[in-house]
Order: sequence, then C-alpha cells, then structure tokens
Amino acid sequence: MKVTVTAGSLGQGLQVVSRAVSSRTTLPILNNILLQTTDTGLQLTATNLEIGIRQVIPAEVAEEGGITVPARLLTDFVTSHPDEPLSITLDKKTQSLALKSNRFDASIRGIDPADFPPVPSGLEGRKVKVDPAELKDAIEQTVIAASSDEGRPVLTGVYVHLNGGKATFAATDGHRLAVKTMAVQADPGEGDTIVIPARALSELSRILKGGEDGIEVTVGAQKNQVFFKTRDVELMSRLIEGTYPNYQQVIPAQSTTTITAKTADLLFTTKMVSLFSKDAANVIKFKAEGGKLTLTANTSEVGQNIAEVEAKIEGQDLQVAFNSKYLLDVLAIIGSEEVQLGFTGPLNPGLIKPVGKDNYLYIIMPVRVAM
Amino acid sequence: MHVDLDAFYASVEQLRRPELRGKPVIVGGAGTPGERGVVAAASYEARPFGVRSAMPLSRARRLCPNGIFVPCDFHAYREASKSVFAILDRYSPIIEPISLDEAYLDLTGQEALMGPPAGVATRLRDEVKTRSGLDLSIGVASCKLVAKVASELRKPRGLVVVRPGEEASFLAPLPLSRLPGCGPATAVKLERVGVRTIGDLAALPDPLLGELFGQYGRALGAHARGLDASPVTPPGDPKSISREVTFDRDVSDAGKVRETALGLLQDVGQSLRAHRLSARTVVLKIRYQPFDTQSRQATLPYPTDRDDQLAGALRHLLETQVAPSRPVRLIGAGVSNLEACATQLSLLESRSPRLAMLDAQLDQLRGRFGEHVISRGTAAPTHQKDVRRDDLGRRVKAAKPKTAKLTHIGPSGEARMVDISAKPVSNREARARGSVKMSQAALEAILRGNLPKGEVIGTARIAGIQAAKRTSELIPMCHPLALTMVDVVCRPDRALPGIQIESVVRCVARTGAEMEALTAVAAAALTIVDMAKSVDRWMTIEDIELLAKRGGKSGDLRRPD
Repeated sequence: MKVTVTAGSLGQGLQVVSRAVSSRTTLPILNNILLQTTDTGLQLTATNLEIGIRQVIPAEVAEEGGITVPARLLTDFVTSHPDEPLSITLDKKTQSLALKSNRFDASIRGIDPADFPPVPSGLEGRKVKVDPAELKDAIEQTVIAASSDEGRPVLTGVYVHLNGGKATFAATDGHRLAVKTMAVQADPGEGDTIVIPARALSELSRILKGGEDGIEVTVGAQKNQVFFKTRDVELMSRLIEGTYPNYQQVIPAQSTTTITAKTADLLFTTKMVSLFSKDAANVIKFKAEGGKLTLTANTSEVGQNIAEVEAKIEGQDLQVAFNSKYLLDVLAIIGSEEVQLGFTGPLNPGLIKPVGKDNYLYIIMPVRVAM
Repeated sequence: MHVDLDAFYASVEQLRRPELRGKPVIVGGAGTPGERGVVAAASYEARPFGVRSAMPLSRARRLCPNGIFVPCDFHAYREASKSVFAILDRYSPIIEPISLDEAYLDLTGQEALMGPPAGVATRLRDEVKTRSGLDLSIGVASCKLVAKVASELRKPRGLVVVRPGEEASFLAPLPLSRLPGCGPATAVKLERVGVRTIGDLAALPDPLLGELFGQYGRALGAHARGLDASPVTPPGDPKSISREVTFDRDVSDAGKVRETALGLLQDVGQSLRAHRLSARTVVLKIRYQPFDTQSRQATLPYPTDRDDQLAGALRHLLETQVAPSRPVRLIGAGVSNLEACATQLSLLESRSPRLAMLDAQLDQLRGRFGEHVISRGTAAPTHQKDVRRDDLGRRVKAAKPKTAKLTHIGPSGEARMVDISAKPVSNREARARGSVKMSQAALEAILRGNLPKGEVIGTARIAGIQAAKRTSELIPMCHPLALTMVDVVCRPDRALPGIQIESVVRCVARTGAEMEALTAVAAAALTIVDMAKSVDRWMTIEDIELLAKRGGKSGDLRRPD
C-alpha cells in the first residue's frame, strides 16, 4: 500500500470515523482504524461493533493495500500536522505504516486488516430518502429524551416508525418523551418500526453538516441493522431489539392550563433560576397564578432565586415542579420563537410544543414535591 | 443544661406496673429466658447487685437472681419520652436530644425571662416528676461537657450547678472515668504517667498530651479544664436513616434475612417520608459471625421515598452482595444521600402516583394502629426487640382488637387487620371457581390459539397463580401467607360458551387461603378477558365463588349446593 494524501483531508476523515472507535473495549483491534485503498482514494473505517463509520478521502494511490493502526495516535498525529502532503507507505513485513512529510518521518505499528471485524458497505432492505437538515433536526430534538440507563436497553434508542411518506421519531427515558414527525421518500411497503441506538443517531447528526444531498437510509431486511449513506460517509448501526413502550398513551389529549412564552426568555430564566437547584435534584417550581408565571428554585443550604417570566396564561392556576434539566434540554433545541406548555395538574404529564408547528411535542413528567 | 432521665426504661416499667415499684427491675431483650441480648436499663434497686446497662442479660441474671426481667417495649418508652420532651420544649427553644432519655437545653439569655438557671432546673425537675412521674437528673454549667458530668454526679434526682469560672475546679477532684471521651484504655495510659484525676489531666501540658494521644489528646486536655465550645444543636434533617437488628440466633436462611431486611427498610421508608425526604442511596449492613461486618450500598438513578423502589435496590444488594451460605448475626437496612423530597414521577409506569399513595396509606395505618397492623407481604414484621432506633419515632398506641360482627371492621368503623397470632397453625386448603362467558367466535379463537396476544389458557393459569401469591398486596386487610401449593385449571366450555376456571390453594398457616383461591380465579378470568378482548369486547365474568375450605377453627366446609 502506497498513497499520498493531504494531512487536512485525512485529518477530517479520521475525526469523523474515529467517533466509532470504542474507548473501552476488550478487543484491541477495535482501538484501530482500518485504512484501505479504493478506486477513488483512501477508505477509513472504524467500528465498535454497535456502529461503524466509513469515509473515503481523496488520495493518489500508487499501490493498493490495507492496514489497521491505532486510531488515537494516527488521528493526533495527522490533525496536528500542518496541512501538507503526507506520503503513506505500508511495510508489509513489519506491518508498520510509514508517514512521511517534509519534516516528519514517522512509522506506526499496525495490526493485519484480516482481523478487523467486517463492516458491510450496503444493506439489503427497504430504502428511504430523507433530507439531511430535517433528519438532523429530528435527531437533535429526540435523542435528548433517550435514556442512558443500560438496564432497559430499548429506551437507550430512538423509536422510528416509517409509514407512507412519514417518519415518526420518539424517545423517552421514562421521565420525558420527545416525538417528532418528518417527511420522507420511502420505497413502498408496510409500516416499519425500528429502534436505533441514540448514540448512533447522535454521531450521524454530528456528521451531517447540512448542504448534503439527500441521505439514503436502508433498514435491513432482517430488522437488525440500519445503514445511512451520505455523499462521503456511510454509517451502519445495529438496531435495538425489544418492544418499545406504547408512548402514545401518555400523550395528554387536553390541558387545563396553558402557558405561552418566548422560548429564549423562558430558557434564559430557567437557566438562571436552576442555578439554585443544583443541590436539590434540579427541581424548579412553576407557578401560574393570576396571569403571572413565576419560577422558583431553592436549596435550604444554598439559597433561592425567584423570577417572573412574561407569559400568556390561560385556564386554571397551577403549581408544578420539574427537573429543570429536562426543560432546558428541550428549550435549547425546540427551534421556534414561542413555546406552549400545557398541564392538567401537578402530578400529570406536561406537554410542550413549538408554537406554529405541529410536528414536534415533548412531554415532561413532573416531580412530586411538598409545595 | 444537661438533663437525663434516671433509669428511664426501668422507671417507665415501674410506673405502668405498680407491682414492680421498689423491686430490682432489669429491662432488656425480648423477655425470653436464655436469649442473647443486653441490659437496656436497670432500676436503682437492681444497681447494688452490680447490674449495669449494656451488660449481657445472662450475667445480669447471675448477679441478680431475684431481679425481675422485663422485655423492652420501645413503644411505651417513646411515648413517655415524648411527654417529657413536650415539657422540655417549654423551658428552652434550643434543645438537642441525645436519646430518648437525654438532652441538652440551651438556657443562654433566658435569665431575664426564666430566672436563674438553678431555679429553672428545680422547676423543670419537679414538673417532670409531677406530670410524668419520672425522675430527672440535671447538670447546669456553661458548656455541654461540664453539664453532662454534673448531671451524672448525683444520680438519681441529682441537681448540680457549676458556676461560670468554676468548671475546672469542679472537674479537678473527679476520677478520670467521669470525663466523657476518656475510656478505660485512655485511663490506663494516663495512669502510667501518674494521672489519676481530671485535675491531674488538666495540669498536663498540651504538647505532652499531643505526644501521647495526638490531636485527640489536646481536646482531652481542654475538656479536663472544663473547656468545650460545642453548641447545643437542635436536630436538623438527618444525614442518613437506618435500622438494624441482631438475631437471637445466627440465621442461615436467606429468605429470613431478606424478609427481615425488607421489614427494616419499610420502617426506614416510613421515617424517610415522615421527614419529607428522598434518598438516593440504599445501604445494606450485614454482620456475619464473629466480627465481620460489611456494608454495601446501591445508588438509585434518582432519589425516591417509595418503598417498592427502595426495596428493589435492597433486594438487588441482597442477591448480589450477601454470601448465601454464611450465617448472619446482624442485618441492617438504611438510606443515605438524602434530599428534600422531590420524587420524579414516571411517564411509563402509570402506577407511580398510586404506589406513592399506597405508601402514604400504609404509613397512616401503621401510625394509627401500631406498626404491626399491616406490612408488605415480603417484609417480616420488625418486632421491637433489639431494634436500635436513631430518631425519636413518635407513634400512637395500637388499638386493641375488639370483637365485632365484621372481623375486619373495628369498633368505630375503621378497617383493620385481624390479629391471628394466637390462632394455631394448621393445614389449609381452599377451592374456588368462576367462569368467563364469551362469544362462540372468541372461544374458538382462544382454542385455536391465534389471538394476537398469544396463548390464553396458559397465561391465565400463570396469572391466577401469581395473583394468589400476591393477595395480601391487593386486598388491604388480608394477611400475607406462605402458600405451599397453588393450581389453576381453565377448562373451555362450549355449552357456556366460555371458560370455566377452578383454583386450589394450600398453605400451612394461622389463617385460611379462601381469599387467595378467589383472587386466583379473578385474576385468571381478567387475564382471559384482557387477552381475548380484541375478539369479543363484551365478555362477562360470572359466579366467582368459594367451593370448599379445609382446616382451621371452623373445620372442613363445602359450598351448600
């Protein structure tokens, strides 16, 4: 293997694929990135067995071949290197990769690519076309609600329901729920439901810069893998098995109190007030009374902060408490100028929606406190 | 001011049982002869025999063969303590309770209002005596340490006032053993350098004390000079809550260990809720013989005050952290990392508000009728013997069961669980039946096994068996029973058309299993309805009834048909 690349483009590619390198692994080769020559350039692949990411970067290929080298060292070396040509040569006998530039003459010990777990470059199954910007939005607006508790694996994923020209994304950690609907162009077929690991989607959203062409998504015929393909990058993820809870039944049908406020204002105020709830489980209290919305947080040994927020309040007076993190998470990504909060009492789920859009909703379960 | 009730437990016993007055009363253990346990209190009549608190009961028995041994009744002691603290409350706004029978009061700045401290102390002592009948020893001094030494100097009914500035001279002639924090080991070490009295100790230079005992030595020296800056601190929110129990005999049965731990945790949960706190960490303490104590803890994803969630964490600890084969001497359960009660409600678990309500109801029942009136099926009732309490739990006296026509309804109409402790254990069996009537089409679908929810009859059987085992959790006044056999048979009946359900439940217990048999049928029937409702919405559950029962006082009975 003998190729010439620029450090800049290799560095960018390495930064993308190394997101799939697992930090804790029992399989040493998974700390490595696979480098292979292709017709169009140099292909970089990394996987942690749950997700795999692949990108081809432009390169002049003088001799074909492949090797795996430690991701960390290669990435650090290349990204720190000035954006100049790098000539990369593999010494097959010693399995070490020589990286030469004007100033440096480095060589990195590698492992035979034959030991690298296969990462398929394509998948048999139903294909769906989506708009990258919309997909990025859908991911960012739902992954926040996914659980990080491995005790219930299905909740660490985002539930995706493909039906006709529509995809519904839903995620919940048992305390909050986010549901987003977006348009897609799908191969005809019955409704598909899959659960994609939230981590895989977060990585995908990081890769999506916007401005790409449509993304091709393939749901494996076995329903155990999903494959995303952008112009430069491929991302493969295994799917989570298990029955996703029936989230629809927790969506409140109506509300007895609705609060409408400016998103930025509510976000800022919640942030300020919640500084005083860090030691009290992040609990922040909402009081909607006499047409006024008051936010309060207090911790007996710290102090308290009370703030009034400009808001339109309709319906009954209400006092309700939340984990402020859940509210901050959604306000940061809801992407509308105004938000509407709907409640039916201090112990029932609260519904948050962007004003003027119908494709997103977020539900927070309150915290039970002595008011 | 330090106040200390004299021979508190023993005095309470003497107060409520006049025949014990003037006799050597020794309180400790559960009152069964030959048991392990220690003296919790000895009356002044027993002290000349050499009986002291914390001495093994067996030794006390040898020293004082004529002593009257009384089991601990913490309930009564708590009640008595509560009435005394109610009096203390009127003498100072700043009170630091140390235990049920001991407290510090801060009288600073109250002279103008209450008069000189010596007078206040006398009035307090007399008021406690007339109102509660209990004797009190009081020490008055400018700091907690000297006040404590003073109150212990002339027990019982002592009143010692140490004037400001006289602290050191008051302590000086006393033996080292009177100084709090100066135990036998320290005393021996001090005697080696010629120190016999607190005054000798006070005269030692700090550097020497530092050399002998490190940091602690300097504090000891200050104490000996009557210097103690610690303020009277009223109890704040607890940092942790725990209960533990030492078994009379080491226990190898993992089931019993688990039940006991869960029972203790239930107490902890109640106390937690009483303080309006939530816990993030559950702690399991376990002592194997001889002196191998281990403490294991589990952190919950978010703080909770709910029994079932705390119990889940504790169960996990028990399963993963307890050596199954080793006999257990002591078990304890507790919570720490406490926060102001803020329970994150769950979206998916719709039972969460109701489970919280169940805890509140159970707490209320236990508060009203005593702790043993009701407990979860999985938790052994925590009998009071040897249970150490770390807070002043305050509960009302248990209502005495009276005969009423409906046994589960008390004299004033409140629901209650019947005390069956006195009933003999016998072999019991109960049979019940019921049926689910449905459309022919639904029955056929069930028989063909092509319902979307799967195999109906097998699932219904399991549901029935599971429900029988949980009857006591479902039916409020039902006792938890250890069932020895449950079977549920579901027979399709084309003539009905529908499914006939029959259950048999057996146990060896003090009370019958009729409720369990009926619950089994009901749950099996509901399961059938749930699984087949997509085919037939209008199924009817009919004729759930008891067929027969065997065992118990009323003997064998069969449904008169």
